[in-house]
Amino acid sequence: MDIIISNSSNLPIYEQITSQIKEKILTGELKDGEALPSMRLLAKELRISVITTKRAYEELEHEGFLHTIVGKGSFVAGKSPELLHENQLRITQEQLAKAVETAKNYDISYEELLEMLTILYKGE
Amino acid sequence: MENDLEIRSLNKSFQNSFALKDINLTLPRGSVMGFIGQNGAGKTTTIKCILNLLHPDSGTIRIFGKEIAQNEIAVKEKIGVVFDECPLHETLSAEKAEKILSKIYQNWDSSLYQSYLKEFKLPPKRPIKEYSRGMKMKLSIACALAHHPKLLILDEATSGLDPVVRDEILEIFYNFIQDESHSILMSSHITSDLEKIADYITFIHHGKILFSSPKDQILDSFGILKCGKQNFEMLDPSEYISYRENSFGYEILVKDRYLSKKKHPDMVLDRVNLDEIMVFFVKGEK
Amino acid sequence: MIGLISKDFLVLQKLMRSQIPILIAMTILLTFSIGNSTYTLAVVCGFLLFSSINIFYYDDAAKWDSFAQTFPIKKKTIVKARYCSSLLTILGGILVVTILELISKIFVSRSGNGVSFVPILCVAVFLVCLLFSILFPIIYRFGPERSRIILTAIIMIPVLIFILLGKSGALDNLFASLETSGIESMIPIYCYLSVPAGIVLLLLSCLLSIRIYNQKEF
Repeated sequence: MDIIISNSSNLPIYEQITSQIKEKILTGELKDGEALPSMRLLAKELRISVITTKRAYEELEHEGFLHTIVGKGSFVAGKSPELLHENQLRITQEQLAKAVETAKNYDISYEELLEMLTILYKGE
Repeated sequence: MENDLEIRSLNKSFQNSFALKDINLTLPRGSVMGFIGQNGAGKTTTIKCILNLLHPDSGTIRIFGKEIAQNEIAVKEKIGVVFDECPLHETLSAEKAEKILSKIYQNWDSSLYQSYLKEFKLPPKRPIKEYSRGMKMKLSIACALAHHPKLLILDEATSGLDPVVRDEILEIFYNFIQDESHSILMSSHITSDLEKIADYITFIHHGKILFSSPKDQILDSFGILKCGKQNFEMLDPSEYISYRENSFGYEILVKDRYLSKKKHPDMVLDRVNLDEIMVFFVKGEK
Repeated sequence: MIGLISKDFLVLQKLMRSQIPILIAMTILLTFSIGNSTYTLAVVCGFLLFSSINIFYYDDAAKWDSFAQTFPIKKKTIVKARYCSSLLTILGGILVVTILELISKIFVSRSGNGVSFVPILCVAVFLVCLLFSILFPIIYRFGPERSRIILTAIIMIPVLIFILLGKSGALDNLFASLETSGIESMIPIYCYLSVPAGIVLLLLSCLLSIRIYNQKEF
């Protein structure tokens, strides 16, 4: 498994790791139930701190991509595409909830928010 | 989460008016802490207090949860120390050093020591005065690791070594912390090494701790904003730690670079490294 | 403790290898040419003092003391080990001197000096113990560098006195006169007592050194 980190990227290192592992899981390069390298081994090989790799794995676990068994290691979560999608919906919903709360705090109306959402989504 | 090292309110003053003031430091088990600061800032003094080489005026130091003064023998069995100079007599050889150290440490592992000598390519019978600086340091490390310590303390151990040797030594440390019960406290000027391996960074200046935080947080939060005089004067002082002025503009160490990037999207905002953080903290204007 | 004692001897090994042949040659020359064992004792005493004190200098140069503080060993054990190695070097010195004396007796016939050998040896041992007892706490307190001047004076004076006494034959005269006055049987006892006395001095000195060492900062 290849993981390539850039020091000059604007993305924090843990995010680079999570996005690369996610991609490998989604493309099937990493199969369900497959063991991932330990956080410490990953830190050693990439020459980064263990806290970084730990955070990356914790994020992936939170998003449902892997699960960690204490003493054994981390494994790709066996998820059907529907469950995965459900997870992704849940995470997006969490983000939107935050945006809605912010908008309400600033007295931004529903229509204004919807317009913002449309521009952001379609504008990409 | 247990802490391998806990220092609370450590104070130690000297006759020459240098003093450690209210030092607080926590090293969680299984992690690596980089200890940075200028020469004379108090790194070695702190380490000496940890090892009971100096008697603190006040404060507590706990290693593996025990106070070192009362449990010195048990604690020191599990600590490996590497100083900036190899403390073995020059007429001794690696082989003779083992004869001495194997009688001192209960957990001395002879086969481990021999394997380190082989791995580091250290001739066991040659007197140490014929070793290069890098070889002496590797021998010190072999001696520190061969009795299976849980905590490794290094005081400027890699200064003066070439990048290739330092890389080899860093590899040794990475291997050491593959075991979750092992921790490292290393003071170093070679911040590039710390930027790789350290989990936490503690910065000491004039005997006081300026910050002690996770390394990723430090390197991710701080940033250097660059702008001209007009823009600088518009900045909110609470946004930054300090600034440096040059003939052509200003460089500002900001506390939260994501926030600053949002507030000033047109200004140059660079990532920062530990060297720059140190310099801005010490020499920057507030 | 054994580790520290072996360290002292391993460090001295090189010194001993270079110095002992010279020592032996010197003493053989002196003993055979002058026929007096006092010189042997003086030279060996000087060497014992020299090597024991040198260990302190070697340790200081290597910055060994700070390193030793990181060992799982109590401070008092470090001091005790030093005194033990010094005691062992004294024993070694006694052995060497006795052997040389026996050899010289075989090859050189001298007039009745054999009787006074053992008492003189005891006194010499006592003097060495006395010097160690004084020197070690001084070195522990002031460090090897600063103690150097004091040490030079303290070592040289007794050694000089001893050599002078031996040269003038005063010691032999002393024993001869005591012989005739009839208390010759008591002298050996006093001399033999001087060895335990020396050891007692070393013990007291060790306690003092331990106290000094415990207060020390590195």
